[in-house]
Amino acid sequence: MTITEQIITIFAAVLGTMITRFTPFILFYKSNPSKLIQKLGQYLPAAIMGMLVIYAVKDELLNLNYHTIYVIIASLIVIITYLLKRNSLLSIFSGTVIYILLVNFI
Amino acid sequence: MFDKTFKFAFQKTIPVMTGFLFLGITYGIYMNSEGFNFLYPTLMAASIFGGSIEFLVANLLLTKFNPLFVFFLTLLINSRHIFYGISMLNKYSNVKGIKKFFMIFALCDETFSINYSIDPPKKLNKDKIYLLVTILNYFYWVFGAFLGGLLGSLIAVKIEGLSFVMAALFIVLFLEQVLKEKNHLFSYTGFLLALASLFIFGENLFMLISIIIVILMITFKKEDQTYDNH
Repeated sequence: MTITEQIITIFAAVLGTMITRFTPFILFYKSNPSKLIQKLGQYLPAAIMGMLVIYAVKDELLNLNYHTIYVIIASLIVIITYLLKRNSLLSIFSGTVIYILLVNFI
Repeated sequence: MFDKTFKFAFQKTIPVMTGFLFLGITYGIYMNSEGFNFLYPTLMAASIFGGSIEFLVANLLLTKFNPLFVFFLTLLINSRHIFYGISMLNKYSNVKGIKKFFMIFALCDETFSINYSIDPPKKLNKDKIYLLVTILNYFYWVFGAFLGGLLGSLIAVKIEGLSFVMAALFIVLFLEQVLKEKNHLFSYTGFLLALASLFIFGENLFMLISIIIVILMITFKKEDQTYDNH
């Protein structure tokens, strides 16, 4: 690819990403969003939060191997420590340290 | 600058800082190893600002010129962002001008989930926190890509497994959501639906299909006064 073609390729990715981010804000700029859109704004985020958990570990789930088991163990550590201590950073870093140890030393 | 508002926002982004610096550096090193100079990863990180797409484009730059393919692939993979916007319409409604532009431009998975979940003390300015979280997360990623691209193979950042920090962040944000809501219908549905769709539809389509199914559920849902997602 020439430099110009590279720039156009990168720009295509920028444009695609920007469209997905700006569309709702442009569509509902000023005009009040319809009842359905308000309902979506109310209920959809909870569902997306659940989906993002799967999204973050999709590779380990699709390729079943030891890493899948490590991900499940580390995730349980995150969940249990959070339920006990309610400290986000503590849970995130405990789970991550356990995962790093499992991946590297077993 | 280092006031209470900044501290609050910064603290919320510490897991993202760890993950983005690490992944950003990895991305920079990857592009460097493919023969691109540091300007590529830095400018691509700053202009696209979407991790998985940047790795893909890095690959596609080495193949035949086909911008339409890149455009539609990006639309497909990033389509979930549309629904972040819908969810943030209200929360971002007080911000205007260039700040608003930037907050929309840089609305990635992590910034969305933090800003959606955030519940700052009353005395702090929410809008300022939304903006700071957006700027910090953006900075971590771009700076990581710059470092990785510049130093390339000189720096050895091979901590296998560190990227789990992003998964851990999403797990905690999901738990926070579940613990604060009275009705768990949509959070559990989202989780289980994504799990099932991942195996049925594969990694490129499962988020979009899961979201569409949930939208259909919401569309046909009767008004429920008892449902409270906060």
